[in-house]
Amino acid sequence: MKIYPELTFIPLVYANSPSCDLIIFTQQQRRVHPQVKDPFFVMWLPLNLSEEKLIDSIRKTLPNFPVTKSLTCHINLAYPDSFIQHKFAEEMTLNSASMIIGKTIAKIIPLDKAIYFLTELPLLTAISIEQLNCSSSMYFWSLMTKLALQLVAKGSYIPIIKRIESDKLDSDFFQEKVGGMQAIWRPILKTEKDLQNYMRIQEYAPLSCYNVPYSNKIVTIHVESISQEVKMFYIDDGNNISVSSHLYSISLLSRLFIESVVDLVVRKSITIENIDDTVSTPWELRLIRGLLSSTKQFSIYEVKEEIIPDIIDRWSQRLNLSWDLGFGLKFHLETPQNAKKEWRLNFALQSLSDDLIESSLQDFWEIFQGNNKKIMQKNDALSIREYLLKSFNVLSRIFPPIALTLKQQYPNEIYLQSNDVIILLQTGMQEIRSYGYSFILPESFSIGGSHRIQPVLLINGETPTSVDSMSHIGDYTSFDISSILSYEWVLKIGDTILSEEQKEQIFQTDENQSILFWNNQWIMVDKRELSLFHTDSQLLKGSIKGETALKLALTQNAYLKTSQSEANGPYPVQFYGPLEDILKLINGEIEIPYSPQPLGFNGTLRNYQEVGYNWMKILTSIGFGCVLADDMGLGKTIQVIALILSILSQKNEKRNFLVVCPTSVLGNWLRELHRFAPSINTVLHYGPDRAKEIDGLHNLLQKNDIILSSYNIVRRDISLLELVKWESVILDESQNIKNYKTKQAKAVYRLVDNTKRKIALSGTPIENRVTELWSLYHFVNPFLLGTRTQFMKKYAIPVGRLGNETLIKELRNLVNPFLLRRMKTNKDIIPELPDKQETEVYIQLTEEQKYYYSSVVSSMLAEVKALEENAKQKFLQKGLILKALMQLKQICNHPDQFLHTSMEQIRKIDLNELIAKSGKLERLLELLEEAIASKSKVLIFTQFKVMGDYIQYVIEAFYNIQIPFIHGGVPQEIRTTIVANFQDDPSYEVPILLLSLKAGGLGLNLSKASVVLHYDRWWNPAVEDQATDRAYRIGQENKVNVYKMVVEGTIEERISKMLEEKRALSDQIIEVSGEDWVSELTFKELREIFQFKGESM
Amino acid sequence: MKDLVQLGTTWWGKSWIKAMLKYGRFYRMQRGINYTKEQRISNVIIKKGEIFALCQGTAPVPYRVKIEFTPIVREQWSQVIQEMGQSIEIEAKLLSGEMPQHINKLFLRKGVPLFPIPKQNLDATCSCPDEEVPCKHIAAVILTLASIFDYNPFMLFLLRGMSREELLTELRRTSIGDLESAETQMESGQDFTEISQIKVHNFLTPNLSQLHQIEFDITKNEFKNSVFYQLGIPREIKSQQFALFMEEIYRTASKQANDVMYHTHSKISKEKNPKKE
Repeated sequence: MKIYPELTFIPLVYANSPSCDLIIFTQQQRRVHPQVKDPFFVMWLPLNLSEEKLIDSIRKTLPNFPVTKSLTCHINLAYPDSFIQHKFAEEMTLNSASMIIGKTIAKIIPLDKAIYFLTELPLLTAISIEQLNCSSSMYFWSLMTKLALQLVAKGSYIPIIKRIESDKLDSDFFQEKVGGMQAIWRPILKTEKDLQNYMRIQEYAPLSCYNVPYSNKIVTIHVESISQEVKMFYIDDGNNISVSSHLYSISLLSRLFIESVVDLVVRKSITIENIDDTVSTPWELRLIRGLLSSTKQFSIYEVKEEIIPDIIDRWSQRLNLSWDLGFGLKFHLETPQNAKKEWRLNFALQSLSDDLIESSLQDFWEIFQGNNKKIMQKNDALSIREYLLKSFNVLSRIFPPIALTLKQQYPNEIYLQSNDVIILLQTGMQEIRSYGYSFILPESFSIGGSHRIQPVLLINGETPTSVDSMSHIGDYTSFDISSILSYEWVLKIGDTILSEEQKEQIFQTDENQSILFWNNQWIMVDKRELSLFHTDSQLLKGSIKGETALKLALTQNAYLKTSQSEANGPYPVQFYGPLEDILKLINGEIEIPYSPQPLGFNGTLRNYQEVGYNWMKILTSIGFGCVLADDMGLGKTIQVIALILSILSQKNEKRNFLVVCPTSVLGNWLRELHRFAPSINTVLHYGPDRAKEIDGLHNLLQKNDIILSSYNIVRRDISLLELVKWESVILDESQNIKNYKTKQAKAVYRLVDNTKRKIALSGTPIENRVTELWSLYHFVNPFLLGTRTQFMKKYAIPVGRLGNETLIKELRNLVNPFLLRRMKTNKDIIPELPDKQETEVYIQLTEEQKYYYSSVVSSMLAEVKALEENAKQKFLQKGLILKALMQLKQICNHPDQFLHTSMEQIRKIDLNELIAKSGKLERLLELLEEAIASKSKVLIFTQFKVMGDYIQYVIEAFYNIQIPFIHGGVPQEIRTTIVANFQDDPSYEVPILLLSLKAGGLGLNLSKASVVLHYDRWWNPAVEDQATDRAYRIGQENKVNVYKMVVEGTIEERISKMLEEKRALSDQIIEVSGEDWVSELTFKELREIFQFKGESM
Repeated sequence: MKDLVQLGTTWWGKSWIKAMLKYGRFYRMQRGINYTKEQRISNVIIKKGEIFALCQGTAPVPYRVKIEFTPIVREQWSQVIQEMGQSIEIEAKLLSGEMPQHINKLFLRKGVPLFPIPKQNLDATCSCPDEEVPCKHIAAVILTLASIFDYNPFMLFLLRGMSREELLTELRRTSIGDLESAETQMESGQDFTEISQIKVHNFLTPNLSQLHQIEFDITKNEFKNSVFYQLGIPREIKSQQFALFMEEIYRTASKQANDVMYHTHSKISKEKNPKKE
């Protein structure tokens, strides 16, 4: 488990109390119990480790934060006592936990510094919990910070005047009173949404963010759960944990925090210097001064001014302040059945923490009659009651008929004439909403509803037709994003476009009339919104670029400009003409035209693969790039091979394909191309002998269909490659361009303009990584997401840091039509897959590995040859071979394993360098990344303890996690714990388990793993299978993917092949003989098997 | 007479003056008008049955004024409040700090006088040389009170023996009488509490996965949506400059919040670190 610094908010009242025992260390001195003026955060480590560890941990979590500049302190915080005694990852199950107070080493973080890094943290809507690189307490405070900033951005705060001295009025009647007062900005949680967020965030507060004790007694936390069926009201705050009052409550701390941040940000946003704090300054301006100065001081000079705090206090009373109540008032308007009946305006109490909990006022009022079974605390019930009464009183001033509610026994529904409803909808509703109450219109009246007249943008999709040569694909023509289309705004009700006559009819009625009885039913029409249709219909037509039209149609959010600055919307968008079909096609509303797998495809595509192949074919034919993001193991490569084959089968012109992939999978591509489409000519653009001039390249292009190259080479040769007009560029493992700043990404972008079909293959679920999405789409369909800067402002920050749902949806709508992702866990889509899929992963040797490999082979062959003559030396010869075999396997694994480099030495090597020394290790990390991204748990088997140590070190250093390693030296009880954690502990977060083949091959049940990686090969497939069966066994709920890593051209590949053949005949032969059979081979066979074949590639 | 009554703007402010005039000595009351308009009254303190105030007269040191009334007795208050509790409308007004319409009629029905009824002379003293009651200063205090009551009707209740807090507390008690018994029932019920187990390392990791419904919206917000715009300026504030300053603050702070949220690199300001002491 990774240790992150925790963040605790220290309110002034605690900081200045003796039980806090705050000691601050500055460079010169040690200040005991300083008088603190502002609340602050402390950052600390769970195990109260040393200051160095703390600093180190903060640096890792917040690389940009100047931690050395912040002060160190000692402060009393509360912990569960078990938390100190045991390692905290250890499981403790208790009914109640005893808390102790511990002196903690911490860093003091002022709020004005903290808000910067806290706002930068991503939201869990944008990333997974595994990707969240911080503690839950820090995450909690980041949410609160964002909420506070949102309040400031929306202007949801008011000034208040706080008395900081007790009122001396009573004791001394004529004493002159000069007020000790502060002018403060007080946040207001005005809207239902704000309140809901505020409550929800608190529900998930980890204890570690408010472990602030308010006495130095030993604290006991009573952990209780209330399992009462929650209908409307409940006692607890819903998080099932009630903490006894020995800690400051999270609601108090949250409130103090939000108040501090809002005041801080508003106060600092502006400086005013020309107001003096003197008698002659009007008090209004002295108030402004107090609100902006750092002292916050506001003084009263005249007795008349004593009323000022009340004036300011009353000012805000009109707002809906249900901050602490947990419930808010909600309005429902219901349409009558016919023209004569009255409209019902109904009220309800809406829970702010749970959308589903809503109560009628009648139900609520029954509490006071004593016959309501629903339970609620007395004070809560009273506060809600008073809130309701005050609300109705205020609202009756906005909309007088509401006064009727207070003439009854309890506030209850009222009935309205349509004239009143017209007024209500015209102005009242807006105002009621602006005070923070929620007002629900009849559904059919809401935007998008069937009984509301609303604008629709119609785009003429007739014009841009250029006949594509690939006519056989279907009736689709290609879509030219730079074409110009014409559009027109029309009015619709339901599905019907209004005729001129009907429009006339509507605009004839009174300008302010918001509801009409029309065709026997009430309909809603907002004439201010529609004024343009009445006055200026010329502005409703125009022309638009194809790409803009497409984006509008995908996101369905067109805005109608009504004046210089104002725009109404969003409104729906419709295409008509051929483009309508294209839109429906990419949106998946009509089925993709089916074509069978191409002739010459040496294999059979599975159903879902056929779908993928046809999808890529139609999309790229229309003119869009696409991303195939199927889970690993679903055969992305062969879907693309089928596509290439199919395009090549149109013989009318020379078409060239560029496939770019990581070096480690070049061999895989060659192999798969050769196996599934032997007719395709492929040339590897790799190594020192690759074409360097355009002539040479053209020559190759003439003779070959596919140029296969790596990201590194493409980066280096981009000036050459960008000269070619590509039929298609295919990026395999496209996460290689996830960082748009890298040279390889930039190089790839240069290919875009000259490429007809852009295809990216990715095994990681890219749709949830917002910033990486741009990098990928900037290759696939650059027009969609705009420039990087535009994208960051418009989508990345609002979505990533703020979780803006509208924008998330909008972004998905833009991106998803060009993305196909099937999950291996989805049995509906992929029913025919076996439950276990074994894949051999081919890897190249690095130059260093090749060197060692060749030298071992040649010296072995020389020695064996020397012994050949003498039959008596057979035993020696056998030994030599087995020794070489071992060495070669070590070289394939990692050159340092062969060199017997100690762990101590290994740790000194630069991590990236260490990884780059072995193609296998590099590939292992890539596979892990994909597996972790698809939330699989992974078993890694190796037969070498030493290699296991290396792997453990590399993974731990690379991911900054601790992974367990089960090998022969691990005692049984520890193995049991490791397995139990891996299998059954839902909070155990490490998805990787490393095992040595022998220790881990038998007896363990690891059915929670769904990916098995064999880092090296064992000659006996049964042993491998046994290991695999740790995961592939009863209890396994997912398909198991088994990857066997094989280094190409080496003994590993040769033996792998042999195993495959032999296994097909009879597993028995090899199983019995183990590794010995290798030593029985003749010299010729030996040479055949051992000699490195890499050059043949 | 009309002049005097007009010093109150609400019905209860006006009624206050009318009630005071019933003490007689109209001419002497009228002498307070100018002092009231010149705002010579300060340090007004209202307690149950008592008023203290300073009045700046012709002498350099202000005169001290004290006026006393017999408060309404506790039992009578209880009856009145009992009656108030019958109407949620009255309760709603009182909770909002407003005087309910026709509340004086409710007092009358219970035979309780909301405004003091003269039984004898006004019980008032002033440190000025004028021995007569009311002197100019006492009159000015009485007239000034009308505008105080206008603004804060609870001051009238206080003078009559019931503070705002007491009134609301008692009102609350009448409207929720049955809640107490409901609550006892609740506490004895056994069907809804049950001890369950949690893991202590919840200390660090709560169930964050449920936080997916969180959404923030920090965008350039229109000034129109701000609380300040909606509330307008309190009617007591006359300064135009105040409104201008406030608007500028709301606009700038909104932009500032956006800048903080949309910043792309941790920018830690260069000021000194924590500001202690």
